[in-house]
Amino acid sequence: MNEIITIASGTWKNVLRMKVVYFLILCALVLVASAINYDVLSMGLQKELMIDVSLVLNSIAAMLVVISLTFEIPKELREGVASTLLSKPLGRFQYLLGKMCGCVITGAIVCALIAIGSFFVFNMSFGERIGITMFQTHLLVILALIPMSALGVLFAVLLPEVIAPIITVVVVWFAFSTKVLAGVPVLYGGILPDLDLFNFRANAVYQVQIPWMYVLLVTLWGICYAAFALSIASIVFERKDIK
Amino acid sequence: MKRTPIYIIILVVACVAATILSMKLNTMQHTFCPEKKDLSGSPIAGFHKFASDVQWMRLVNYLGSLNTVDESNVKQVAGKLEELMKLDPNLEKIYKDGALIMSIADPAKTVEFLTTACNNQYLKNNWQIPFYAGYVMMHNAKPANYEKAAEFFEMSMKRSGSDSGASYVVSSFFRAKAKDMVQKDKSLKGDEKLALLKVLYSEWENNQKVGAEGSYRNEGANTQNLNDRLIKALKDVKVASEDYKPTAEGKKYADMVISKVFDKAHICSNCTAPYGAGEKFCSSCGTSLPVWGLCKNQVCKKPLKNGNAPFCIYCGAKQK
Amino acid sequence: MEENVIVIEGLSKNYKRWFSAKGTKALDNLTISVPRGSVFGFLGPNGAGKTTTIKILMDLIKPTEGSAIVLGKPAYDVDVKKRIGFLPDSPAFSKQLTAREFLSICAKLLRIPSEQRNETIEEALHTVKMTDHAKEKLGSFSRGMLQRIGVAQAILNKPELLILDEPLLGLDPYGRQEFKQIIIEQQKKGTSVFFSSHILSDVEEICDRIAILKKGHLLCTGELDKLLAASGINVVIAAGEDKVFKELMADAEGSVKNPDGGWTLSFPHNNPELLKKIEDMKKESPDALTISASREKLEDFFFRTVENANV
Repeated sequence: MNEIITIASGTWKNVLRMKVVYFLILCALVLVASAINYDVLSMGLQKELMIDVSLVLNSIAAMLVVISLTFEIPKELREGVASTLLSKPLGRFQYLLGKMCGCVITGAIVCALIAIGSFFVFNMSFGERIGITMFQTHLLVILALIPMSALGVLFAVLLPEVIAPIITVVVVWFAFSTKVLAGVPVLYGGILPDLDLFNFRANAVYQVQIPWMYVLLVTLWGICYAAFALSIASIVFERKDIK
Repeated sequence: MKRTPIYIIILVVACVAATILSMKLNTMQHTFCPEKKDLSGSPIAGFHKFASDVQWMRLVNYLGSLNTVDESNVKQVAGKLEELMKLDPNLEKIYKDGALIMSIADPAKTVEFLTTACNNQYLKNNWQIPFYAGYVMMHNAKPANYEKAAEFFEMSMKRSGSDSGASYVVSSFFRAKAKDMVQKDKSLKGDEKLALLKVLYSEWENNQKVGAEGSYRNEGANTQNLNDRLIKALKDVKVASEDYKPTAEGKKYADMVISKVFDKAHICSNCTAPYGAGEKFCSSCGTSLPVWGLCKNQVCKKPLKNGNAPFCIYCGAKQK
Repeated sequence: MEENVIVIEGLSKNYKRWFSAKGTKALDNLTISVPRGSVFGFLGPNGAGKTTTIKILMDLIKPTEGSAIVLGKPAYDVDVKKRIGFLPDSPAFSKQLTAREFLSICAKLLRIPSEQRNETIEEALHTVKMTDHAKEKLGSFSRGMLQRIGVAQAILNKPELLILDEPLLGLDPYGRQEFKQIIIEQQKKGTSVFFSSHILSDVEEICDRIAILKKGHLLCTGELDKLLAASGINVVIAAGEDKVFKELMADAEGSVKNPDGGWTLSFPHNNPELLKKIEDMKKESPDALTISASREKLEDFFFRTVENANV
C-alpha cells in the first residue's frame, strides 16, 4: 500500500506544481463568473447557466487531468523514469495503481478547487446557499475520475504515446454519450464503460436530489470498472518490455 | 507473469460486479431522473444541459430577429423547440415562453408541446403549463376542443393548490365545461349562461355526494366559492342584460337550483338577492318573498334579528 | 550466502516486431556469472546486448529463453530488488520534484524505515556531493548532476549488488574520478558491482572481472588480469644484441626501441614454436634477453576480441 501511495504522491506533486494548472483553474472560475452576464440573452436563466457552466468546466478539467496521465505514463516509460521506479521493490500492478490513484487525487484536488471557487462565485452573485444537489453533482464529477483514470492507464499501457490520449478522449466521450446501449447487459457498464452513470448536471440545476445510496453504488461501480480496466492493463504491462 | 491468472479472476469478477451494479444504477436513475431515457441520443458526452442552455440562448436570439411568429417561420421555431426538449425536457421556459410564442400560428403544435410538459415528471407540480394548454385549446385552437381544455384546466386546478392563480383557473374550468356542454347539447340552443348554471349545479351535486371536504376540487372550488358562483350564475340566467334574454327553461332550472341549493339561504327567487328575517318583498326587485324568522309566539310575532336564534329577544319565547 | 551474485544461464532475447515473425535477436544464449564482492565490467560495442541484459536482470525486460538469478532469487522476484541498487543508462526523473523529494520517494519504495530515511538520504547526497542541490528541482539539473542523483538513488539502500548501466556517461573527468572512488568504496563495503561502460580505461582501472559481448553473443568472460596477461609475452633485448633482435624481429607483433638502445618486442601467446625458439635463445644467451608476460591494454584486448569474433 505504501508503494502505491508513494507513486501516487509523486504523480500529484508532479502535476500540482505546474503553474499552468492554477492558471487554468482561474480561467475556469472567470468563465463561471461570466455566466452572470447572460441574464438578458438567456431570459433570466443566468443562475442555472452558472451552475451548469461550473459543472461543465469541472468535467473538462477532470478530462484534462486524465489526458495528462495518458501522456505521463508513456513519457515515463520512454524517458526511463519508470525504469528507475520499477527497479525498486515495486510491482508493475502497484505502479499502475499508484499512477491511477495519483491521477484521481490530482483530479479531485483540481475539481474541488473549481467546485469551491464556483460555490463562492455563485454565493457572491446570487446570495444563495449552495444546494446539496450542487455538491452531489460536483462530487460525482470527481468520482467519475476513478473509472476515467483507469481507462487512461489502460490506453497509456496499450497504445503508443501519440495515440493513447486521443483514444482515451474518444472512449470517455462516447462512454458519456451512448446511453442508448445502457440496456445491453455485460457489454455496457461491464466491458464498455457507462460514465453517464455519473452525469447529473441537470439535477444540480433543477435541484433534484440524488439518493446517497446511488452515490455509494456508483462509486462502487467506478471501483469495479477500474479494477476491470486495471486488470487488463496489468496483464499487458506485466509482459511489456520497458525500454 | 505468474500473477496473470489472478488478474484474469479480478477481471471477470469486476466485470460481472460492474454489470450488475450498472443495471441496478440504471433502474435507480429512472426513479429520480426519469427524463434521462428521453434525452437526445446525440453523442454530446452528457453535455445535454449545457447544449440546451446554448440552444436556448440561440433561440432567444433567433426569436428576437423575427417580427412575428407566423406560418412562414413557425416550423423553424417548432423545430428549435423540439431540439431543446430533447436536450432538456425539464426546461420550463421552453413551454412557458417558447411554445406560447407560436400558439397563434400553430396552436396544435403548441398544445402538443404543452401536453409533453404536462406529462413531465419534473414539471408535475406546475399548474401554469396545463392552464396554458387549456387556454390555447379553448381560445386559439380551431376548432376549439372545450372538453380537452376542461381536462387541462382540471389538471391545473389539482396542481395549483392554494396558489393565488387558482381562482381564474377554476373559472376557466367551469367556462370550458359550459362551452363543451353547449357544443354537445343542442337543446341548450347556445345558452352558455344556462349551461354554466347546469355545470355549477352538477358540481354542487357532486360535492353533496362526496362531501365538500372530501372533494377532489381544490380550495378555489370549495362550497362557499361554489355557492358564490352559483348565485352569480343564477342571476345571469334570471336577469336580462344587453346581450342576454332569460328563457323560460332557464328560469325554471334556476328555480329548481334555488330550491335545492338555497332553500335555507333565503334568497330572492327572481334576482337571487339575499333577504333578512321578516322581509316580505325583495329589496332589489320587489318580488314577494316567503317570510321567515318571525317569533313563534303568536302574540309577539316580531322578526328576529338572528333568524336562527333559539329565543326571541322581544318576548323570550323558545323558538325550537 | 551464495557465491555468485548474478547467475545468467542460456539467456536469449528476441525483440519481436509487429507484422514480423522473425524479430531482432538482442541476446543469444548468454551465460555468465558474477562472483560476490567483484567489480564486473560488462563490455561490448553498441547493440551488443549490454542494456538488454541489465534490464533483464532488473526484470524490466522479459527474456525469451534462459534464466537470470540475482542474489539467489529469480530476476522477477520483486523483493530481491530491495537488495539491489540500479542506475539506468540515461537517468531521467520527475522534473517537478526536488532531488531530496525524489530520493525520498526512492527510499520509501526501498522500504527504508521512516526514522532512518532522512539520514540515509543525506548520506547518499553527501556521497555524490549533491547536498547543496538537494532542494533544487530535478528539471533544472545538468546531465552530470542527474547522473549523480542516479547514483545516489542506487546506493540509497546500501545494496549488496550495484547494477549500473553506463554510469560514467555524462560525467566530467572529476566526476568520473569521484564515481570510480564511489565504486571502490562500495566494493570495500562488500557490495558487488556489475556495470556496463564504453570507457575502457576506467573499466580496466576498477574492474576485476569482465565480459565482452558482441551482437548478443558472449565473446569472453573472466578475471581481467588473466585475460590480459594471457595475451602474449614481452621480450626485452639488451643494447648491442643486434643478432638476437634481427632473428626475433620477423616474428614480433610489435617493437619499441628502448632509451638505452635496446628493443622491446611483443609476441603472441598462441605460437608454441616461436615461444620455444625464444626460450632456447634465452638459454643460449641469458643476458641478451629478458622475458616477461605482456599485460595487454584492455582497449587492445577489447578491439582484438571484438574484431576477431566471428558473429
